[in-house]
Amino acid sequence: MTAMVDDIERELLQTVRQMRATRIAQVLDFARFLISVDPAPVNGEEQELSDWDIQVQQVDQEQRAYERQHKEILAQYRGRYVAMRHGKVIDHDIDRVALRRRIRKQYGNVPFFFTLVEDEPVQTFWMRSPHLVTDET
Amino acid sequence: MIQDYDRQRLPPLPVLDVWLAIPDSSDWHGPYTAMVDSGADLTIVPLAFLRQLNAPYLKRVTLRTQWSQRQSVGLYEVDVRLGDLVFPGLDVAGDIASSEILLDRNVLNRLDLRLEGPKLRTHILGE
Repeated sequence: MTAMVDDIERELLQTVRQMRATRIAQVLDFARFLISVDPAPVNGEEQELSDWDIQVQQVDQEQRAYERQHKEILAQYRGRYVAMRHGKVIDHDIDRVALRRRIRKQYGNVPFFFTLVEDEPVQTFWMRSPHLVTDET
Repeated sequence: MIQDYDRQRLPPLPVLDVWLAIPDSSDWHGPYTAMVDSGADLTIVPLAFLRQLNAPYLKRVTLRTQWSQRQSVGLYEVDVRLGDLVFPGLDVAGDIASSEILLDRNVLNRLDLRLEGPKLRTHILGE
């Protein structure tokens, strides 16, 4: 397992070195996000994923499928909310809450990827709330 | 509904008690103390709270700051309750680093809110 991880790390490094700086920043962002939803175990052993963690992984897969098809989906659903599963748009609506309720009613607690279809495949939000930190050293 | 500012903070901070539930469940968890903050586009909730709720995960988004820092975060769906007011199906960002809720504009813009700074208290006047 360690050897495989070493191989992947080496390949990742080689791949990143071929990228533009902006792409490298995106890879770093995504790596940090993966750590946030699935942190590495402290003792080095693989932990069993909870159902919640597995759902997060499944939705992430759907999001990657969305990003790959973004151009086509944008052409068809711009400004609408879509629900995706198995790489396909299952339903859409202009009302976010109505779409989610309809999907939950029909499919139950099955992981879906929900998004508003916009020009950028990954939605960006702004946060302008810095905290003043006192140096206590 | 009237609530005192948190006077332990300097300067004192407007806060509100909130309850969270997974969508349409009415299985409310709380109260949690939320900071009233209008600086972010959407409300931010510690990931530990969302994990405890089993809140549905929606997607990965990017949070940007005014200093051009970017952070990928997960977006989750919860129902939010303040007193008698219920806001169903809200998108909130999961925060791995903090244990504080920031109540932001996707909630605040739906509230008739008054900050009575000199008396250090917040009034919720309605929706």
